Amino acid sequence: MIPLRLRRWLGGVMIPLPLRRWLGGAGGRLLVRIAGAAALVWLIVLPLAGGASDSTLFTLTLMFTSVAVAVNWNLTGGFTGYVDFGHAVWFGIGAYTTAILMSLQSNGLGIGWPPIPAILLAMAVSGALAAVIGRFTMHLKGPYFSIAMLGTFVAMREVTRTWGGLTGGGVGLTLPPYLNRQVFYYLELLLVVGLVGLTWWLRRTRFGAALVAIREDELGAQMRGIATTRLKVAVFSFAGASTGLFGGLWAYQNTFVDPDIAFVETRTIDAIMGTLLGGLGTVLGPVLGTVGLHWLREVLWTNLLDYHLVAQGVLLILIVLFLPKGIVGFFDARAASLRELWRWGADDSAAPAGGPVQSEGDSARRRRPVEPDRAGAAPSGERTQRTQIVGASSIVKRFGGLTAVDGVDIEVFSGEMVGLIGPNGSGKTTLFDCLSRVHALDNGSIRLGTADITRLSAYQVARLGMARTFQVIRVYRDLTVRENMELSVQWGEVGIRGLFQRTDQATRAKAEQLMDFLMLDSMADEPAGTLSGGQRRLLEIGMALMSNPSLVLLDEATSGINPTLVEDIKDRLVSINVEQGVSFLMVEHNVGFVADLCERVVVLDSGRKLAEGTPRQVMEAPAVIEAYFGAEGRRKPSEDGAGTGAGETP
Amino acid sequence: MTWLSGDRIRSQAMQRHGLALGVLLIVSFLLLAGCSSNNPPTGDRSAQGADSAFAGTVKLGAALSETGRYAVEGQDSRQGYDTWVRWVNDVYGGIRIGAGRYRAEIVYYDDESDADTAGNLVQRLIDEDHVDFLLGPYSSGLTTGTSAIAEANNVLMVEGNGTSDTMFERGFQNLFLVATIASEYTRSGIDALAARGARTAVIAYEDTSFSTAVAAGAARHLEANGIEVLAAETYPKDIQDVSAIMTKFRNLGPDVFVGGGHYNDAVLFANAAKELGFKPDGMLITVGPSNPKLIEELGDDIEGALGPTQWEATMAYEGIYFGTAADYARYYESLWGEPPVYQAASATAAALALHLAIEAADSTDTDDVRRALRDLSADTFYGPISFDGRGVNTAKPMGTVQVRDGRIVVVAPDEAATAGLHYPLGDGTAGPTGPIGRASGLGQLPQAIVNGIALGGMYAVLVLGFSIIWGVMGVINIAHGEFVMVGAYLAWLGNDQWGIDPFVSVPAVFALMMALGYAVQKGLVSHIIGRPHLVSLLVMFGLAIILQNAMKLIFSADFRRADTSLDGSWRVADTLTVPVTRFWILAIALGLLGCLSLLLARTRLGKGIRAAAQNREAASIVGINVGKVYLITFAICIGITGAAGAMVSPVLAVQPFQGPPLTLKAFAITAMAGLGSIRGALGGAMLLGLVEAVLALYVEGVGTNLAVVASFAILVAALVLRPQGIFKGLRPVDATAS
Repeated sequence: MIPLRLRRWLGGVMIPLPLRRWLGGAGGRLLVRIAGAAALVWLIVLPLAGGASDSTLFTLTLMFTSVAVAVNWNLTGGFTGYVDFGHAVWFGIGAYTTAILMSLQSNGLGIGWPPIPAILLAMAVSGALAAVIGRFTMHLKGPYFSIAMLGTFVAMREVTRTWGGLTGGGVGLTLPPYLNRQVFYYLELLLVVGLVGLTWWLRRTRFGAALVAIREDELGAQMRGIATTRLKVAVFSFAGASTGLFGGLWAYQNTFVDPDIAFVETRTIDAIMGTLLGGLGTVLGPVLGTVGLHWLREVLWTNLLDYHLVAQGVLLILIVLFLPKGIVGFFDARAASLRELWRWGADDSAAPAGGPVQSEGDSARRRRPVEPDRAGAAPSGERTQRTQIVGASSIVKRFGGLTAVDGVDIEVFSGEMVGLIGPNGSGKTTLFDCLSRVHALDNGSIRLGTADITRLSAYQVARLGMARTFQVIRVYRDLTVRENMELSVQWGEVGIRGLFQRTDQATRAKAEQLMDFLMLDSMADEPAGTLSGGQRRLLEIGMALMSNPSLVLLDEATSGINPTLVEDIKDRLVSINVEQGVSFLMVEHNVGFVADLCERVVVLDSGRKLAEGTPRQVMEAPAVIEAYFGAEGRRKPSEDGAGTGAGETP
Repeated sequence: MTWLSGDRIRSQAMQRHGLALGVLLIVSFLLLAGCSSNNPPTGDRSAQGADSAFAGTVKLGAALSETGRYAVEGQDSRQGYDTWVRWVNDVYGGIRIGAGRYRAEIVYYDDESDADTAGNLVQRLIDEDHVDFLLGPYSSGLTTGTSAIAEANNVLMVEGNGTSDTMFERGFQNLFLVATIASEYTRSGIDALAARGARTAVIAYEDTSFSTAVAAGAARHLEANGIEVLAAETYPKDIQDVSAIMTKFRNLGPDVFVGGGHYNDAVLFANAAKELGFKPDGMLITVGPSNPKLIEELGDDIEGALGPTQWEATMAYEGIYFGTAADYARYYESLWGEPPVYQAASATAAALALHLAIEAADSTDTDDVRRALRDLSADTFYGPISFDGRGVNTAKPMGTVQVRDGRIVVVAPDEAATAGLHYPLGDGTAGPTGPIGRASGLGQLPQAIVNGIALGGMYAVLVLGFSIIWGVMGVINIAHGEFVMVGAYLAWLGNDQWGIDPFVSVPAVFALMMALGYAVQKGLVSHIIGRPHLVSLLVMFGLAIILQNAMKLIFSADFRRADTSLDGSWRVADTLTVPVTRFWILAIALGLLGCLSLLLARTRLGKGIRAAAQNREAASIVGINVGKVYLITFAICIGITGAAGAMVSPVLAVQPFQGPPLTLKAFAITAMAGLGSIRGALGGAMLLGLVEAVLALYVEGVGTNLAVVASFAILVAALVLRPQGIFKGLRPVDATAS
């Protein structure tokens, strides 16, 4: 069957694996550089050598426009994971702003500005409008964002049509013709090369990495201190401005705009198809894909005539089903895969909660055994200086009629390890979510150090030194372990300038050290999605520690993990606590683990604090026993809590 | 419940098999389609049969639409140009320059009805094909952009099918129009109507360059004749339903209705007028009545309509070349096997004007020929040609035709007329559904509410399948509107071929569409369930493109309409009527919603569907064959969607590209109403219908435009303000990013 053969071919039968590896690595980079340089030289020399007629230049200029729109689309759609179905709206707005400013016609403003200020203002207007609209629509996720943008696109077109006094309505506006093809050709070539260079550079800065983090796991990124809203709106606005600039240039060349030719859905569709064909979320993908698409169109156009539009539909389906990573992604494993994108959309529930059990080999590989001296005494017991790290009072959180957290007070002192236990549904994770500001509180207040964080956002809380891990593991699956670590820096210290720099030496060294410490160093350059469940827990802990936290919230750090590895995790936590003075607040079902580590335990039941004290005190409290086993329960809770295997009765 | 349990492994294997089969089917369809293509290859040169007797060649070029929106008119224009080429080379013996005879050649490219492509191609014609002169593309929009390129390159462009006034306000030196300019289109018709006693008029026009110019001209001519304009309304291009405008007009009770637009708009006007019982004494529609195809499509419903025409074969024009108008028509028919429409005659005339100017200048030099064009004053089969300073032919008046007993007769101006104007239509008195008392302000509210509920009922039945597929399967069916379209075409086909009422054919369409749904689910959708939304969006989008263009290839892009006996309107009160067709759609919609609610609530199948919607994994673990549930759900939903298409086929124009706006509305309603919520679908549809109806009826002039924006404004507002949805559906809506 053809599809199977196609799949085999795509799978690499036709290209031997070593060759693919080489192409995906150094060889690919070399080839891309040589080909890119050759193409650029050819494009620069072509008109000078007189080898190109005006129409060739015009064709190429239009192709530059398509490439630019695809590159801009890829910034939000590919890097940030916000698939915009209405991106062409910025093209239309750029084109119209330029036309309104430049037209001398009586059905517009008739002010006849010169082109350069008009096009620059058009760029600014598109960017500003994108910032405003993005502020609202980027709150939506997945298909909702896509369709909201499509709605915005259609609405803008109709507004343009209806607002005749400004835009000339359906009649449109004509611009004074200036048709020096060479000028437009070189200008757009320069801009496109600049734009591609800019995305290449951006992808390597912290900003670019943070965008990918948003795509991979927006909530996780937020809780690790990334100001996701600000960044995604910024990049959306930049893409809007850039597309608006090309829209303005297009209007000037076309000498005429009306709503139906300025706002064209196919511009968005071409950008999406080109980017998909080339490789979503890659720097060169949109460029290669758009050029490839133009070539394919020529082939379809001349050979299939009337049927070329039908063929285009078939092509789209084939690309999506058989080439989900595009041309670039075929060689580069790190390109975002279409299948991976939006996994929180369709199959959220399918995200692995525990993952495969850690293999035996892992514990054998550990290099720095920490002295297993954990006999009874809590590590922070000797500390005398006890300043409060976090203090929350009378926290209330309701979900509809259910009060998940009902007036809980909780505090953690510096250097302390505190356990938070309770039956399922007692509100432990909800309390964590309240503390790290995932949820808005219905009542109560939270202080972190000296700051009142009751009304701050999740990323601000993270920047103040509260890091956390998650019950359902949140790592950036398509990024390598190293990238995951380097992305989890203390974002409060990064600042605007740091945002546009590559990761500094100190951060890299720190990540290296932590990976070594957490036995992840051998996996450093593997995508985090390939780690086992236990390794991902370790990675999460490492990511939390990267941000120099004063407090780490651990949400079921041991669930689904092999007992030997649990011991390792325990060792690591203790040494971090002892050596760096980091406090921990941990939700655990493994009561033995809590009893070993914590000097103080808080028990929740039905959203209320049931008991607080040393592990032994708490576990002997009748209320606790009753909560776990009912009024007649005689056994101790630890026997139940040790479900995952490593617990010991205290 | 044996059908619900099943072997998942086997079904997966079958799915893979099905995918291969699906792709193979599509590919073989394409191959077949490619082989049977009988169109001449694009970009070829006509009249290659060069005769060695020619001293040389005069090379002309044109970008014309062979595909896309203007494919029909583009084809007519091309035949018009080719008529001239054939005549000049075969009959006339070549263009006379100096002592020699020169062969005429035209290089064509397909501009795909797209402005960028057209501009690019004209540039290519100038640079690479080195054409001596350019002939115009079809439509004002394409001519505006391409003429700027011609102007910048100092190449003459003579054209007959881009008549918008604004084009000639630019002071171009190289653009010449042989046809009458848009603002003059309605003059002879309005003069004739005024002479017969018309006193009031209303105008509706598409908000595009050409139609706006026509309408502005009409308003001027009406005023000059002392006819009061009671209302002027615009509507956006690609609209499918102008009944809101027609309701407003009917309530005003004007003598004359003036409608501006393109061919397809005439179908919309006739549809809505019939549905609402709006029968003015005179109807003047810009494009359409002069086209025999329209009469074939609409029959009695277009009887008596007036339309401007650039040219008719029956006109009494005669020139030295081609002879009389009738001679030209005979020659044209001998070449192409069909009588010429005026777009074709205009194209021939444009080429002929250029021919005359070249011979007058005795040169192909641009400046000489331009001077000759300026000085040209000739009588032709097309009428007199003489250009003014703008490059517009002001010598030829616009004719007006009337549809009489299914034939087209010229009724104005007097010198070209072959029959008198029939006015007023009917027996001259207001019929039973004649003008209705003028209502304004709150008086219109009952009508707006009735219209809104009727519209809402239609939306409800249109949105249902989309909502349930999303709710149950998690697939956003972007091709939803295309399934409506296919259903509508099936009903139209039954109506057109065998005269079956679309309401009668609903069960048959339902069954056929269920089969289609079954096939699509097996071959395509089963492979994308559970994949990220983007995958399903893009795959279904690809399917939508395929369906649109396949239907266009089969049925052409012309608007169609199915006839139902359940038409007209019930007059409830002086200012209140109920549209009959929509009432029945609403009734059937409510029935369908009720049946579906029962199916979901009371049957085992319904329980299976709800379980699969809540949690696919869990449902399959407890023994429900989720694949089968999906298959049945999808088939039923596509069946309902197709049946909805059949029901609306008398109300909305049936055409290949009617889908996307419907899909967007379905999305808007579903996202705000709750996924798979039947009550929500009804509520959301009603809300949208009411908002649109009130806007369209209350806002002067641009109400219909605003109604189009409204659904998107509601969508975006609903998503941003209430991302969790308003109603409780089969699965929760959760639109927030974080």
